[in-house]
Amino acid sequence: MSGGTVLRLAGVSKKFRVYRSERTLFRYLMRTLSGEPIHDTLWALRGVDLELRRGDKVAVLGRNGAGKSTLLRLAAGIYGPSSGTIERSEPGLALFRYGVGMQADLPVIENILTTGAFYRIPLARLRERSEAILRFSGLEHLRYHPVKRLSSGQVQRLNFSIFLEAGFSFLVFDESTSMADIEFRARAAVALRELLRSDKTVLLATHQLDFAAQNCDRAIWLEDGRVVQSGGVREVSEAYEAFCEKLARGPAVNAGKAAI
Amino acid sequence: MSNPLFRGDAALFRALCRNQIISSDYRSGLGVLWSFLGPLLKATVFYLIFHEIWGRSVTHFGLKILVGVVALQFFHSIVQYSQQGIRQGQGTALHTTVPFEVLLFPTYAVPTLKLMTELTICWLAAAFFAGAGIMVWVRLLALGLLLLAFSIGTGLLIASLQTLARDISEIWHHLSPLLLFLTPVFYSLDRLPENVAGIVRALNPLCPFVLAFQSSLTASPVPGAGGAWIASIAWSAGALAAGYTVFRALEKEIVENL
Repeated sequence: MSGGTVLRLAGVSKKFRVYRSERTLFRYLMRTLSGEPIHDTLWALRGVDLELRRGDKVAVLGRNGAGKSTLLRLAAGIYGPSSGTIERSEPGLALFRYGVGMQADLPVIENILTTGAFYRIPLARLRERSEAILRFSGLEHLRYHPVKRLSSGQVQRLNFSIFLEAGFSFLVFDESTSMADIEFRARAAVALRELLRSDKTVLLATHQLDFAAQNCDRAIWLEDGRVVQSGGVREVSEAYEAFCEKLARGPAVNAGKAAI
Repeated sequence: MSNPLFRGDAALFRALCRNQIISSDYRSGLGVLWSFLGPLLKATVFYLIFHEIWGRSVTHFGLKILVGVVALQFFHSIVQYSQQGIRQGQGTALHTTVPFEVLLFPTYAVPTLKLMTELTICWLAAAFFAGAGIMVWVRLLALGLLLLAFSIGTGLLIASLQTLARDISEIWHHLSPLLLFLTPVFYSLDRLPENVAGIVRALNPLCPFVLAFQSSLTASPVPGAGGAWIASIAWSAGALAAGYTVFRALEKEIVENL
């Protein structure tokens, strides 16, 4: 892999097993005797090529179920590919769901340390930055409040504020602050823009085409697990938007299948 | 430890262990002692019921029952924690690159701490009633570590297999209580017919642990305890190796199955 390349996916496909019924020893036995498979195969991604160079900001576009999350998980190293190769020159920091690793019974201040450890932020830095994290998330007055008493939006604010402190230079995340209130969304958007203007390498899945167009250099559009188009962010998001508009007007169209 | 990623995971591991401990038992330090009430009451009931039948000729019958119940209860709780830990870890592992072990192993922190406390209480009782010295305590803790390894291995094995076939946990739930009756906790092996005792010793892996605990605690003769330490070491190593190997082999299935 050449010097500036952070991530390279070559012909990457990913399949999952989808079981036909709840698995029990008896059903295994019956299916084995009858020769009938116990599961079907779902191809979530097929033959994806992608290269990220240091400092690249790439948006992943696509409808629900198109394969965006699978691509992000492969990029972060959570999943391994079923076929094809993935080369990564540095580990990626993943943010796909807010509240991962939080301990509901423990107070906000303790959870900053735990969630920060999930993002591999050193403890000393977390202790030093915990006030700033509380301020940014707007939860200073709730520092000793158990996380289970927070609203979903507050959990999201807290988690996102900790995520921004992580020192990784390769970030893989699902951009969504939808549960947070308008004020925090605005604050998060500013922080996100700063992040996207930095020299970090970012791969993000988003449904906000304007945001992607303003902050990313490139985009990749997935449909039915296949890359429909990749290239400059404006041209890809325009094509994707046109496809979605067409879809909204007429009968279901599958761009992935149409492109095959 | 020079790998920054490993350093990060070690910090997370410590943080998760700490969280488990401080959030257990309603955040009360006395919780460790409260949880000793269960085995103590169970041992008392066994003592009252079985003392007349089997206990009259057994030295320190009560202590032997108590340490046996503690060991058995710990084994069951570790298997249960493994099952819960794998179920809960599945959700988290989908969203993070943190190794599954780092998510799972901290769940053992609380029961391990409780075991060590309960063994210490057993030792204090043995010191009072049987004059046990400090080396007895050391031996009990060492045996506790062996039991921990055996229990984690068994727990990993059952919890990993239950992700393939969900009824394995149900089967375990119904069969595992039988272990109490197949382990010489409230009876001694010499009370069983020789062939039955041989089967229990050979096929029940908890048997050597309980015998080793009983003989270490009271320093009085425990029938069938010869070679119990060696058998305990062998079962610990075998179960841990088998459980961890199966867990690693099925880890992908555990995280990725839909």
